[in-house]
Amino acid sequence: MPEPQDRDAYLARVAASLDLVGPDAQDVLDELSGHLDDTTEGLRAQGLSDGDAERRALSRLGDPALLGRELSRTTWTRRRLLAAAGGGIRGALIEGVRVWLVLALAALAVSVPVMLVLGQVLPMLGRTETSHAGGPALSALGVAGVMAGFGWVGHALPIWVARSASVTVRAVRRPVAVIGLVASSLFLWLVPWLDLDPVFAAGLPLAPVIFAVTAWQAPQTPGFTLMSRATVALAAAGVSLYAVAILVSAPVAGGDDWYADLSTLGQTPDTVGLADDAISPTWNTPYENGYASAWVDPVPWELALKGAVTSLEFETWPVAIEGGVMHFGPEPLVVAEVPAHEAGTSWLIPQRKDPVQTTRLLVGITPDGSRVLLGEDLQLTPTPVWNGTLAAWWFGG
Amino acid sequence: MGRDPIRSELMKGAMTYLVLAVLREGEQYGYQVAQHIRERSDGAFAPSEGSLYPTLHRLEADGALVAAWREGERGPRRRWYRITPGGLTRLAALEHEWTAFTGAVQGVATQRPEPSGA
Repeated sequence: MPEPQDRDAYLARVAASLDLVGPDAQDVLDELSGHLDDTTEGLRAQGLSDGDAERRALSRLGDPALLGRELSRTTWTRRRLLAAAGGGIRGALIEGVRVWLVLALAALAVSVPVMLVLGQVLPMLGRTETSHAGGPALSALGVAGVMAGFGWVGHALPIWVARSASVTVRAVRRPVAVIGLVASSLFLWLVPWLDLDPVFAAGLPLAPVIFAVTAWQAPQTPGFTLMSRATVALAAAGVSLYAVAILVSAPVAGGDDWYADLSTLGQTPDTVGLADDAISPTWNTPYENGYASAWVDPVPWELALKGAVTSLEFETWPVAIEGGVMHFGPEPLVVAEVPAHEAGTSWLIPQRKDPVQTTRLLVGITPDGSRVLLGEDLQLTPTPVWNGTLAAWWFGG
Repeated sequence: MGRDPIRSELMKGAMTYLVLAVLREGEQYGYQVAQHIRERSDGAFAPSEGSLYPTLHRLEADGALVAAWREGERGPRRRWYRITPGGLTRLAALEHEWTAFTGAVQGVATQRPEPSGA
């Protein structure tokens, strides 16, 4: 680029390379302008013409872009760093709360009519309207919301930092992108205990990357406002995709009629000389805080079972219903023995990354090891949602 | 701009020292600092004025200098720099280093090897 021949052009080139904005930038330019005044006057006193004196004065200051960059390196005083950090924390909190509120309101505004329409359309298509409102489709919608939120904060945060430190957005967007990527990734991976499924576990780590990409390209002023038609359109698009997913995946109505063949799981009570109602179980479902519990009556159960059964256990089985038949898994998820003389027990249902439906059986074990089915609760109950940190999901622990 | 590159490199290293040394004598603004360096070295040290201001700002950020705007008797305002006690300490350390450095360079450059095999 050719050397600027006049003072205004020279100072404009310095300003373009400065990280400072506002009064701080003006101070630097005023100082250089004063220097040029003095130098020009001194050279004129030595006999140079006005034009030559100004050109020589500019030449002595050297490359304006280089001077701007060198001056920018002296920008980051401790006070300015603290101001930037404070602006960053404040901006992250305010924009974080704002974006979640706006997204939630926008999603609510479009989801109510969509759900009302779905409630009418699904029965007309012969599908159930409630059972698939959650699951992967809802997780995908949640992940999309989290990504949009991180994207917005990445877009807005460099502007907060730059304004607090009185510098250009250009000077801070890359550090904000990198620091935000590292800090939010560490936080997301290690701190919050979340209800996770495969969609959330795969999508959530991408949110800090979205933050970094938008921060890296942040403009000097916000490119769009949060409370805008674009936000509502984005929410509408997300909820519409969710509705389509429900339409596609909703099961055919009547799918609740199924048959369970328990004959392979144990023999009937009469085969060991017991009445069908020799013992009555009471089941506590759904699971509370990941625990199942059940009771037997009468107590002590040993007397009621007259020695035909020497131990008693509650079994939790994974099941799947296909073609109107309940299929049991190869082995129970949990076997909880009922202690002698006790009325019942509770047991922990394991969290699974691939949740399954479960049912419960009360099984007596005869002295020769045979299994007797003394009761069952065939109400379908899903295993507890997997809860933990992202790091634990992906790396165990 | 046609400047001897060796001198330019030396100037870069010495700029902090020269600026602090000049400002030890009292408050001055940037142009005066440049002029004093130029005059006292009989023009041998003509500081690149482009590197003078980053040096002044860096020293101010480090706490070695404090700066204040003041209206001139004629013409626009100027930014006056004053050395701080921290700046004086730094200057003393630089003087010590510089003396040791130039002494060592001088020693290496002027010492002739003893004739051997006499």
